[in-house]
Amino acid sequence: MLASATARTLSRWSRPACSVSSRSYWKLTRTSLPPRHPAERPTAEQLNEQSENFHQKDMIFRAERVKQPGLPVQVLMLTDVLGYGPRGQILTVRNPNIARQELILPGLAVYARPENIADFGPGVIPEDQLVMSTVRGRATMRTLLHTPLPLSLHHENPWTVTPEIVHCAFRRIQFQVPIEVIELPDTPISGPDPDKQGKEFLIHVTINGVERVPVRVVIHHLNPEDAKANRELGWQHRFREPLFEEQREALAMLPRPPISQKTAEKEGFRPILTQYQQWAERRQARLRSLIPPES
Amino acid sequence: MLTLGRGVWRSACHAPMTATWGPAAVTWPVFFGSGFHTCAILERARRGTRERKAKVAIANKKKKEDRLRRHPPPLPDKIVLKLKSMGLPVTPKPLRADESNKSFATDDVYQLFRYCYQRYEFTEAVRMMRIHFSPEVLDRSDDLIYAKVEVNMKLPKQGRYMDEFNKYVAIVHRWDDTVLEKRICAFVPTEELEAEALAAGAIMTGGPELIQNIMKGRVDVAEVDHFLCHDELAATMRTMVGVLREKTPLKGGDSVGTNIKKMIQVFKSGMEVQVRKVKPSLVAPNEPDYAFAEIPIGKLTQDPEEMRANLDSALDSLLEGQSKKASGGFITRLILKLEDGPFYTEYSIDHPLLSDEKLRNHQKARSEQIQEPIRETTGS
Repeated sequence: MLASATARTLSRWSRPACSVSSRSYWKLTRTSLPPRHPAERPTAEQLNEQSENFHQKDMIFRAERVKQPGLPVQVLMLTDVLGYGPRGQILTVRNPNIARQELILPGLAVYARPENIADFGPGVIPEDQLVMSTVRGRATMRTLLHTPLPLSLHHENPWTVTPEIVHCAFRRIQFQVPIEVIELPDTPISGPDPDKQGKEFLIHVTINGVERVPVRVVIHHLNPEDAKANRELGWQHRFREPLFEEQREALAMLPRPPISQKTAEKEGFRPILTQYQQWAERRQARLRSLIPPES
Repeated sequence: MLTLGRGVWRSACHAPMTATWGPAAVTWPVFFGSGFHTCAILERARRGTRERKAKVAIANKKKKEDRLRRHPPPLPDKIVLKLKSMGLPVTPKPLRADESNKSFATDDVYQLFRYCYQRYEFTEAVRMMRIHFSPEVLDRSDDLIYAKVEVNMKLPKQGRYMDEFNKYVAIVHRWDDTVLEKRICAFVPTEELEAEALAAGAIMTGGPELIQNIMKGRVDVAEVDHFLCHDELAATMRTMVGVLREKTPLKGGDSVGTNIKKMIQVFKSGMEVQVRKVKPSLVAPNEPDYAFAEIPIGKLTQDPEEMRANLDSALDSLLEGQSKKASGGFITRLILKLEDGPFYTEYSIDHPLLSDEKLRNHQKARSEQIQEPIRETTGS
């Protein structure tokens, strides 16, 4: 248990440079009391023995990793980033890991320290002037940006994508999105069409009449007899062709859900991981290019 | 005292021995006059003592079961590991949705697990289900809608709960014309009630004379599906158990009552609803106050008003005879669903007969425009 935990910590997917140091400790609890009589205690030879049959009850511990949550961090945006704010905005990001990976390391924001704010010059927008409907609404916006929506449609019966069908698709991924706030592309999307299978397009959802959020939608032809079958592992990370060519750029700039270590270690996921890394570098370079040179 | 066991005493009592007096050798049973007893009959306590101790033992056993139910012991480590390997939760998920730490959402777009589940209006819920099961998506537009009714089985007395029961409910608007109506025989005391029963749709009515004829075999009742009886004739029904068997209307059931007309309507085109509890297991916690019933109310293609009338009639029947003193109300939640449908196609609805304190407080606060503190959770 301990050996595998150590291996995971030092694995290449957890490089210290990509993560904020956090305080955590391993809590080990005995599952049974050690023997009281000296004659019952294991000898040195037995302790050194690596045999699989050797099984000492009192040497078995229950290991629990206790993590202390990271503190929220204040950042100053250097460019407009969807889901965070415009250039010059000071805002608090609750998860320091996300702030570091998505904003600080790519160079899209800096820590909102007095020196950085002074260096930025005019145009700093204080946090209390952040335009948002509600705190939760803003968090929902960031979640929707990262969440691709699977749109399952019948594989044989004719269909046309309507806001009602998209509303039902949102409910499947545990989102309540009223029908009237869903904006579909101007071109109607009909099927069934094998050419459209697995392709993605962009819709917009307006939260509380304030935040207009683009959402990635993936078309999937569904056989109702397999309605309860689990989707393929890592489907939300796969790269797909856009349904409309004019939406290619917007879809490429849309954030993608982060890849967990469990998903990354799955067999056959290496090409997708490589694609993800290349996409992340291109996107960050594009966002950095929008930063004015004097900042 | 030396105890040699029952066998020794018996063999000692009945071992044949040959006596040497008398005209011939005769075998007589000879009893030892040893002065000690080995039989178990003398080792038990007096009957009154045994009864008193048995009562105490039963009471202690019940207390222990109640204590273990309220504070179950932790599962052994091996079982915990096995559950984790099977992907099952270690602590079973509660049967009722836990909304104690949640509030109603104020945003129009939100994640469902962070807030209280939304209670839809009946027509709106049916409309949403029609979209889910339309030919464009899941293609089950002609299926039957079920109303899952979650009920509170608590009795007014602390720690007491109702048992599972069955109830006959009327279907006001039928959805399947191929199902034939049931044939009813009604036992009523007066001629006015006989006329009323015939007008309501009974195929056979009568009083004590009809009962006598049936007992003597002069009337064939093989084709009758249900027998109903007025309260005044309920006492005579016991004599018919041998003839009618499980169809006999007995006092305390749905088939004996005073409103014969309504009873005939219920049994003629009604259905039996079973209110069932959930057996405790590794995946289901022990909640004796939880029970549910699944009642079909109509097809997806049916008019929502007809389905609503069916639902109202079913809930009225379920509420009949329920104690009003029990805390928490009887019907706690109503969910519209299709049989074997995905979880996201189930919609909770609001209903006047629903005892939903959380919803009523929220509606009251909204009407008074009091700002409720927003509480949300990070997980379900």
